[in-house]
Amino acid sequence: MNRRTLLKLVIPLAIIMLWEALSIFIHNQFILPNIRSVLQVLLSPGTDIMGSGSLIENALMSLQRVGLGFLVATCLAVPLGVAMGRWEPLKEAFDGIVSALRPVPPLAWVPLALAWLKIGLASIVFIIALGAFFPVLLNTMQGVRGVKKNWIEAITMMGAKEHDLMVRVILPAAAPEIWTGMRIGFGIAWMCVVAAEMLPGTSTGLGYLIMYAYSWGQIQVVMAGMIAIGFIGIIIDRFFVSVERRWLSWRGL
Amino acid sequence: MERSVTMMLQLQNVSKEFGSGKSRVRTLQDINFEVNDGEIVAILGPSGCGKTTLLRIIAGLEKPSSGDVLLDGEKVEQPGPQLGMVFQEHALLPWLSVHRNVSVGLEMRGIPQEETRGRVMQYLSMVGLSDSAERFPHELSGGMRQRVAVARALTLEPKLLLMDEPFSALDFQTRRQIQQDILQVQERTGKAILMVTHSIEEAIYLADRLVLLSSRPGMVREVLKIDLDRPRDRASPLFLKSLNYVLNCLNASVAPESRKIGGTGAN
Amino acid sequence: MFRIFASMILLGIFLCDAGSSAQSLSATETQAKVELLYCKGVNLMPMLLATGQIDGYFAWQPCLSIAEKSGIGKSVVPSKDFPPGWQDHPCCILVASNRLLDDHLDLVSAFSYLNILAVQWVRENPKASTEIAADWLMGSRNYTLGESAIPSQEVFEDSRPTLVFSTEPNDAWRRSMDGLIAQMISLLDTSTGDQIDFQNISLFDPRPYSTARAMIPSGKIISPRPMQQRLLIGYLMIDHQAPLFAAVKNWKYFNDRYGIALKPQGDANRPSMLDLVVEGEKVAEVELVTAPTGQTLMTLMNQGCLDMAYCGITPAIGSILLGGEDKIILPVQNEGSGLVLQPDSNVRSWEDFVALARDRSAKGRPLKLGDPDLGTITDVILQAAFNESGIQGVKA
Repeated sequence: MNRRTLLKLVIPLAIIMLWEALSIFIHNQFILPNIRSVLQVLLSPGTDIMGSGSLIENALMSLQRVGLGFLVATCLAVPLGVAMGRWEPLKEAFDGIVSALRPVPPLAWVPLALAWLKIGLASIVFIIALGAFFPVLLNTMQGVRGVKKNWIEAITMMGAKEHDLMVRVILPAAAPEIWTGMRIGFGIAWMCVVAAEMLPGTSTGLGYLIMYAYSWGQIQVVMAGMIAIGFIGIIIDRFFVSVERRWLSWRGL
Repeated sequence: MERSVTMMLQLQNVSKEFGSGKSRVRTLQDINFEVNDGEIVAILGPSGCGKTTLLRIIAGLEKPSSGDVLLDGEKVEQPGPQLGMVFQEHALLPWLSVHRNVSVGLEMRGIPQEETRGRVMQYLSMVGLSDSAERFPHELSGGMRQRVAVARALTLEPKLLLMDEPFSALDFQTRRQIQQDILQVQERTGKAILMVTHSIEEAIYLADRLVLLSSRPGMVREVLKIDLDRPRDRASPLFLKSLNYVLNCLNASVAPESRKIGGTGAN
Repeated sequence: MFRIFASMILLGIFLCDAGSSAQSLSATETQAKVELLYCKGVNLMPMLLATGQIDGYFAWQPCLSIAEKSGIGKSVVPSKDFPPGWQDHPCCILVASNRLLDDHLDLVSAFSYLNILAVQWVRENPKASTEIAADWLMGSRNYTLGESAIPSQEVFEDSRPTLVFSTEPNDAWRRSMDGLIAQMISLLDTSTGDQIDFQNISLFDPRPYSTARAMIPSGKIISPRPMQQRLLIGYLMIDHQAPLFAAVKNWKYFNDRYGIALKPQGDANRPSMLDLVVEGEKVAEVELVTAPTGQTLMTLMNQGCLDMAYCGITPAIGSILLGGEDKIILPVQNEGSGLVLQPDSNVRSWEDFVALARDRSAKGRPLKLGDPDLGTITDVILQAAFNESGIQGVKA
């Protein structure tokens, strides 16, 4: 084991030891369960937990909601972002409302979402789409505006129309920024779904599982759920990074 | 021996203004000159005299405030494949291979793959880069990239090749080399070239005629014919004399007229 | 580029499809299907019914009376009539932590005595007790549902007859209790974690109750040893907890007549700091803490934040079965749950309801009903009733 790996392991190991020590000291599984109980939950992810489904089932539900919300957000934000990046008047027109809505946290929309879209998939997807929308929009816009003028002019000189420019220059050139926006947007969407599931109206998903387990004092399930959430978040982020490395790394060159 | 001269590009009283009202700036004023078939013409002038703006107007990337640009008798109002352009900074698309970069124009016109391949390789070998077809711009040196840019510009077989300070970003050695290559390409293809440059020496080495611009506003101060035989010797007394002459021209304020350097005979 | 777009669209279609079939029709052909929407409590249910998002709901009081009085629904079947019969089924009970029982058993006994007296008073004074409850819970303000406003007093008066206030664990109570325990064991039995030996877990501590009962004939209270730390008691903001409210608001009556009282320290409408007084001596400072659900109260008690709590029976059972160190002390209130359907419904009994459920299920439009959450008393009873009636509840 080389030095770098050792360094990376130091802090996690320290945390684990601290956790175990504290759990023994506190001696109350309703406050801090020991590591073994959390691991037991994690190592049987397909087992039903007190009637509310297994870790895997609930994770899939959450992923499905995020996937849908993210898709909706991307399908709206990318075209709008490209248009706003390309045509200044459009950007001027939308700038005001984008700046006004952006700082509002998606969760603040929950009451309105429940009122307008009723309890169900639509309202949750709405919240998640809101979360993912703004990073994707802004990064897309940035990416399009940052396309080098020379590239556009070089292709224009060949007699390209707007459509050719869009497909051959602008979209490929902005792709790395757009992808970064999507990566950030997905991260936010993932955070939103878990929190959104803690509110009334849902009976599945990791957020729901965590709250349900908490209500029975099953803190080890709560912690296992949190670890699962973090784990899934990391995997998906890695996916975004690997695609960027493979296809979009011409950026800094 | 005089070749028969056919006029291809003609500028008629081209002027350009920027801004409006109080902050109106006249960048170019009454520019008139021609480029003939098969000629190399260089535009020279002090910084800020508007030479790049002029080239962009000719390319169709910008519109003149008044006056016309005529290519074979027809007005140039927007960019098109009859004009090829090489930019100062490579402007190659970094996500495409050298081959794809060169073939972009042909692809857009729907030319079938077989023919495209043939033409791309033809022009790449003309600039000496046929083994680099599958490499990417970031893997190439500055000089190689500019060569690719030239190949790309030539592939659509434009009537006139425009170059905007194409070699200023290159180091001394590479620059010399590529100047040679340009002359070779020009000889093989017989293309007319209009280039903007900072370097008097480069202009005299390459061009058949020089257009000298004054600045603020940019006006044609003088049009000079360079009648030296190719290959030109940079160390020859005639070359140096021409260099000095142009230098003085650019510094002094002389009434615009047409002059000839080297040899005898009227223009 | 377009390939990426196309595959995203395909992914979207797949996800939508997966979603609609996730809650798959696993009902066997002979079983009727009913969709249950978990509402995390009863607060949202009237609104959901009023806006047509559900066909009805299972809830506890005062939610049934709210529907009746506002006209958005009709309370059609009370929980005691759910099969196999839940007469006198426990609903709210008093729970105490093992810690408190070990250190201050005599205090718990005295407190139990006060509770028995308070429950008796509430039974004998229905009108006065509803006034107190209305005042405590709503400040005598109105319930608003959309545009209609209903005086809280009316709601509680309607609810009152459905609540059975009793501290006596009679036979019917015990039978129901066994049924509930069995249901909870099957709900909580999960393979993660160590196998819990449910059968050997003791849920009750009968000592305070018997000691308190013994005090009734003579009226003499065994003065408990005073408690130095604050006594923290949790409760829920529903009218099932009327005895507690009565004990506090009528503290003078209990003090003068019986020598024991929960005397508020200030003048607040809903006091949180009180003194437990026995024979004129303060034996403990009491703080009342509210929580949204019974489960929350139990979790707080397990984490050391509460000493006693008035909460629902099934959260208490569940918590103790899962290792919580607490004991059930005595019942406070029974029954008080039921089924609400739309105001024009023809359902008059559980059998009518089953017929309706089968009919709707057969037509492919199963009933969608609100459920407070998995493991609440209402939920446990309705699941048992569903099992008896051949209905399968699926998550909406």
